[in-house]
Amino acid sequence: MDFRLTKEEESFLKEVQDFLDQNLPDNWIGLDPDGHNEQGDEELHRFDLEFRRKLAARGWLGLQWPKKYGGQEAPMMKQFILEQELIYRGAPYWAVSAALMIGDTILQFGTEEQKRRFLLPIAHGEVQWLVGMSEPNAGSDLANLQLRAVEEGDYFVLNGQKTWQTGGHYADWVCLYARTDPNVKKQKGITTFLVDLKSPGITMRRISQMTGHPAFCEVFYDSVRVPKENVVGQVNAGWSVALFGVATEKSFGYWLINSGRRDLELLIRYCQETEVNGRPMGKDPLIRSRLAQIAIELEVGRTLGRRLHWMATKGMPIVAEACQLKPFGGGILQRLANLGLQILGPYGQLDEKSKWVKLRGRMKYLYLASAAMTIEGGSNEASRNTVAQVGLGLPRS
Amino acid sequence: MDFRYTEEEEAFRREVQAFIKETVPPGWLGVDPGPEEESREDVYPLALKTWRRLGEKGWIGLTWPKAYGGQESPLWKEMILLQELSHHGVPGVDVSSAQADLVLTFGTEEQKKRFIPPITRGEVKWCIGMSEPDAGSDTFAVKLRAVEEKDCFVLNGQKIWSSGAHHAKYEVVYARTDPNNKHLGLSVFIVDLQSPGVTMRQIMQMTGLAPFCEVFFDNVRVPKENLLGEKNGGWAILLHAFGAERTYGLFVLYNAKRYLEQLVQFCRETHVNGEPLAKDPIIRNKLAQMAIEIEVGLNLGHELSWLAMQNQPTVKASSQIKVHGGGVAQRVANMGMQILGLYGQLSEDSKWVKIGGRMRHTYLGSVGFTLAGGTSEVSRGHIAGKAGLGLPKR
Repeated sequence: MDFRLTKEEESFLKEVQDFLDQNLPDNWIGLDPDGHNEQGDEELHRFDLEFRRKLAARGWLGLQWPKKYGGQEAPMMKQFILEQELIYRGAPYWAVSAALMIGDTILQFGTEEQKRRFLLPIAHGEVQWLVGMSEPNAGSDLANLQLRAVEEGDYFVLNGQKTWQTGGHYADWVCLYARTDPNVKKQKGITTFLVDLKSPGITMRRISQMTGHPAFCEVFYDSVRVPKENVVGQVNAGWSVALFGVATEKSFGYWLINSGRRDLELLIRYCQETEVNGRPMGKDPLIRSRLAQIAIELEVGRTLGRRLHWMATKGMPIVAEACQLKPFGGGILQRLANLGLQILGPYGQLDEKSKWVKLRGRMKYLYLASAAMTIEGGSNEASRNTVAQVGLGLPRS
Repeated sequence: MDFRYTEEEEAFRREVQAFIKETVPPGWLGVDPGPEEESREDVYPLALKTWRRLGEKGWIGLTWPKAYGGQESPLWKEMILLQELSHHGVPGVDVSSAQADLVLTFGTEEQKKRFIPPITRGEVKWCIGMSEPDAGSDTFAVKLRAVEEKDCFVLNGQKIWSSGAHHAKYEVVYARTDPNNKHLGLSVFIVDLQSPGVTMRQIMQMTGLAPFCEVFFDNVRVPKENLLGEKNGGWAILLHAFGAERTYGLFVLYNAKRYLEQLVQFCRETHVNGEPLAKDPIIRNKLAQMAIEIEVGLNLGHELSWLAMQNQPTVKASSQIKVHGGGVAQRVANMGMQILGLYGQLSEDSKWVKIGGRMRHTYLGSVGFTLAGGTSEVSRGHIAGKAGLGLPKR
């Protein structure tokens, strides 16, 4: 058993750290790994685009992809190191990961022509993608999706709606899952489409969020024509494409943990610098005890995450482990945010524009944002069901 | 709305406290309510003595009709008595009163005259024969068979988790008289545990005590006069028993209050690094948290008592208090073990033991509180259902 990185991996990590030191502003508070900060704020979005281009210029988008599609054919571990460090530092990464996931999907199921058409622009950081899965009646029960795609000559015609489309208003293309056959078992009638969001018939409506960063959209498809060459894989074989896509999103739990490390460090610094009754808060035994508790949980999560990565590099199935980590990570961030608000006292409620605000309002933002983290990208309940079935071998309920 | 007790109620409470002082030995650290700790050799004689003395004072069956030895007192008197007995950890009170309540509600005049007075005099103990290996939360899955013959019923089968059966004279047994009707096929019998064919086996628990029994019935003949209520009418008695069950959570909470007080005293007296533990902010914080949770529970208990006295339904409140109380007791026990450090693991006969080994006992014993007498899951089901939130059944 060896928990160390190789020399090569260490030096790549250092490269990434230097890149971040140069390209993140001083006193950078950091963004959440779910992309809601930057997809919900115009200024942060511009920073996201700029940052993405810099990543692309270093050749760091699509690290594992074949070189002919803009990748580096690098080992999986390199990708893990890059993404975890970016997330730990709170750099904007969500849009990159969505695009990479779709790129991975195209690599796995797409035609040569599709790979040539779509992968290079992703590697160059030029295109923002949406994941078109959830609908009002299809969340945890994704197979229940109803957006209809009807074959008409050289096209499919789409009618219906998607929801919880993160960054929809900024996106260029969507990889969407639609129902092509309503007469068979629901998993067997789904097809995957790549749709240009400039197509006629597409309208969007932003969804307001309590964080004040409206990152989500509802996207409506009204007789939208999609050329047949934009079908990924076989018609009616989209469910296995969806499962593949969802499986690649397995790192989200570990992202939550790494993001949490940054937020905890922020709180610790605050406690070291802030005095109450003539004494730094960092000396208060109760506060120390609570900060330590979060630190322990994060460290446990980190170790689980590193094991998850190792298993992935060995090609071992990681579904159960990933589903363990996600509820764990989401819960820690909620507890961290709670603790942050208690430590900050009434200051914790101030908006970031207030002249008395502390930590630029990060704890308030996290308190509101973390409510979603045990729901989005796989609810805790769905995750635990997977742990029970796949991990523990218990029968379906 | 008035949260105070009346003068009369307070006076009775003081009377009970005086009684307790005379009854328990000096330095009494208390035991958990119910038959649990009566299995201890040194506790059982005290339990018998207390039960008898309660009988002499007329404090068993306070609310029962005078014709059977009761006092026809208002319910608040009984609640205060039970609060104080639990708080001070006095042994002797068990399920006998609840079984007598069933006889009073469903029994014939002859049965009431025969069975109730010895209970009010504190002369006999009763136990419950409800659960079976395959019938716990699913009470109606009872299989123990009762076949009607000319002059008696013949019982065959097994009960489990009968607390205090090895000390009891009678067991209220829920048996199946109709194997073809799950819910309308149960009858209730009062069985003399000395009857031929009855054997028992005590079940050893991790506390080191064995208050529970498996009770085996091998062609046990029960006279027809010992059928309680209607044949196949056991469902009504079960429902009544569940609805009337409102003391378990309360017992557990008043019991936990005593443990917390012992812990607070311990923290006052014990110095670590030159300072009493009671000055440590983390410990104070933890003790305060438990005090809050206990106080919340006790207030819920006052509401429960008030509802009972108004003859209003108490299923929701008693379910809430049972869930809350069980959790509180476990957290107090956990906290106690942490505060005591390594001493917490010592058994009571060790010369270095603290608080008489009570923390270790409750750490092991409180595990069962969220299971016995109705699991927390079942209780939450009641709260979710028509007694509480009105959510539809799954």
